[in-house]
Amino acid sequence: MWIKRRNLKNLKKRKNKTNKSHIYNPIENNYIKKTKSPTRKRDIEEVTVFAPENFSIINNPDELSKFFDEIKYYIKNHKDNKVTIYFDLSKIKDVTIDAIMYLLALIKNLQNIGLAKHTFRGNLPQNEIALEKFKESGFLDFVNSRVQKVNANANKITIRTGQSNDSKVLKEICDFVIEKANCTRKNTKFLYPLMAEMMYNTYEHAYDGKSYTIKNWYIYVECENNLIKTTFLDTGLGIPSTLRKRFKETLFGEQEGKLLESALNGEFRSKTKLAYRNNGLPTIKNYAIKKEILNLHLLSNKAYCFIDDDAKISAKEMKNKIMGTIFYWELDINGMRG
Amino acid sequence: MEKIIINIAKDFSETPGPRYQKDGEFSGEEFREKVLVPKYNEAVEKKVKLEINLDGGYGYPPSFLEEAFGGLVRKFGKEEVVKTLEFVSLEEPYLLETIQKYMEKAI
Repeated sequence: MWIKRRNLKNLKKRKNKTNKSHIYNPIENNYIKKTKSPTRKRDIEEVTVFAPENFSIINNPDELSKFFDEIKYYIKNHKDNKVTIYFDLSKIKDVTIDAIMYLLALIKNLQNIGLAKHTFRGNLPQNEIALEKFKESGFLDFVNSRVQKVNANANKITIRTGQSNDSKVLKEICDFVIEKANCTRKNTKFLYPLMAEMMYNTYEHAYDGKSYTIKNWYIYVECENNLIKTTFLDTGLGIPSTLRKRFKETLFGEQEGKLLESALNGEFRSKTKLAYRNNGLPTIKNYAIKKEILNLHLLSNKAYCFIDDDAKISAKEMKNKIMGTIFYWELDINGMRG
Repeated sequence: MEKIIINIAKDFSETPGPRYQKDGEFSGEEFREKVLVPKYNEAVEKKVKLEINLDGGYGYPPSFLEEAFGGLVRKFGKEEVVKTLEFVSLEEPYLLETIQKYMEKAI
């Protein structure tokens, strides 16, 4: 009887301990389901993360930011006990490259949290178009997979990643644009510094050194329907957070969409003593206004800015925050030879 | 009139990099210290102009240009640098104004 009571007591103790270390807000939990609960100390908890059908941050920002935020929140609350996270991507129907890149960056970052080394597993979309998009993006180069990789596609530069300026990648992208648009190096001269500064900012400003995130940028380029489409992202502090950090007193309470719009308009240049700094975003905006780049989307933290064909900036606030910054723009290959 | 010429694409790199050497290859700092400063000193010594040709490369990140030429002004003073340097760019003529701005505002 004593032994039984003692065992019951121990079991209760174990259960309490387990519950305590698994605290996360269940109200926020829409995409994660626990598929295996640990009954013994050495058991590993397993959760399944269900990706939304429209797997695109640019086209579905509110749902995707919530989805990624939920994963981040869950892992942060399980940083001391190992969890197997299974990404169920099978229901994805529509996908854009920004979400694939963000998923890769997120996994890389989350492996960096806490002492527990979490295991990440998953499947691929059943939808053929979405599956092809995953394969052609180079996603499989970053994960261990038995799925057959596709051969290099001459119309795509698969996801590249790095830290600070990478001259080889920049050269590769410029040469790709020159070849596709049948133009000369002179026509891509604006593009090289644009991307170089994005890469450099990732290294120099995007991360604070305290965060668990890795100082990497990701870039992907493809040529489709006479358009060269580029997606660039980092998972650092994000532009609104960086601005708030730098200009603490003046920016308190400002909406992030408005902050990003102000940064695009160059309103922060005058606030720094170094006049040659903070030129990156106004320069990008000017290229969009001159229509050298088209369809510019810029997302950072909760801010989402879009510059339309009439060079009008629309700024809005997303429901949830994304880590870092995403740039997406297009080049019209017929307009590159001018 | 005799002058010393640097063609950045030929004498340094077609793919200029970040501001500082610690941040990656072909930085503005590396260009300034390894190529620009020795040629600048030679030009000052010989009392000739130093021509910087910007054509031929893939493009110039602003931080590269600021560190190279703004950095030269911070090192040797604006008056002497402006007097010695001449810039040529047929492919990107707007760069001349940009560099001038960096040199004027170098602190």
